[in-house]
Amino acid sequence: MIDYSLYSKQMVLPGFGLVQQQRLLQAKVLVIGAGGLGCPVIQYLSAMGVGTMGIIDDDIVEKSNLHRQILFGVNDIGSLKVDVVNKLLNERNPSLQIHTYPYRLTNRNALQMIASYDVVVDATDNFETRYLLNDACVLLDKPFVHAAIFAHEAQLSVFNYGPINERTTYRDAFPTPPQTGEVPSCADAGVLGVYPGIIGCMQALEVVKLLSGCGKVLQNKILIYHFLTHQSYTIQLTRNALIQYPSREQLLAADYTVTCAF
Amino acid sequence: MQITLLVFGVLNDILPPQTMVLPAGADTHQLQQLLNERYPDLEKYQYVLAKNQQLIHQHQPINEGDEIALLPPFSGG
Repeated sequence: MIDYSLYSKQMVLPGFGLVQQQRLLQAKVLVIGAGGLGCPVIQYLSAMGVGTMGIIDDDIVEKSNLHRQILFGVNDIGSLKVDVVNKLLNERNPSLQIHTYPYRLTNRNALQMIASYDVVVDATDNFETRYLLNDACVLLDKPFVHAAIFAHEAQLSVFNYGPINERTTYRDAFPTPPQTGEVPSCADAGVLGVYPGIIGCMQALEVVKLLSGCGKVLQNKILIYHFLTHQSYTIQLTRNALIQYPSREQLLAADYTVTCAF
Repeated sequence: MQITLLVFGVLNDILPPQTMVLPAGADTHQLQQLLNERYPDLEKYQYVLAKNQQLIHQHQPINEGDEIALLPPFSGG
């Protein structure tokens, strides 16, 4: 029996009612990465009643995570992130299905992992996983919501969504993967604790829009947001005819750790 | 002709956003060559170009008043 009173304050909103709430409750979302972006995505999607969530991350909690990865506290240092998340979410909203996977997304497990979910959230901190999940989502016909942060700026986009001949992907935007070390991660470039909170909530909102049909999804666009000025800049994205995607066999044989290629 | 150049992400460390004067008839390829001469470190980075908020997949002519953005991928999550 579903207790809709949990969600009553969002169900009274114009444009979001019982039908939209039911779509969330029936949805299956896979969050790749339980770090700075993953934490706000996971906690808001579960609070809002996304019925099934998968969370994949092989990391353990470190002291330097705590200022931005706010599902974790000092007592969790050394624990697997997915174990802490699993326990918390079950306490907060036991009616939801939570599946946790304490390993990395690889070319060997990606297709199997993603196949049973409706939407994928790219909350990763590295390009090999991002290009891999991009290609796996194209093969499996799944939309994915991307966000990434560099210093005081963030990018947000919904890829592989919309009419099939207009869909764009991360490879349409960035056909050539950067070299290792060329683009520093949050851990290396620095990040104010609130930044992934802000952009992760925007990422969660795109998932909700996509699932519920409420609002306009950020497809075929890249939103660039500057935290210190609140200025945003939107770039329109079209298909790049030169981009090729791997077949299932090519993806299974690829080594994304070297070139993000297949 | 005068254009506006916007710069995002890691490229902020290489060059500032600015207005630039380009020779008449210049295209995005010539703009990139000019930027590489002025800011040699730029060649070390992957980035894409957007013209008037539209990402371009091939080099295109530039017109007076165009806004060109240099967008690298962002990593962190």
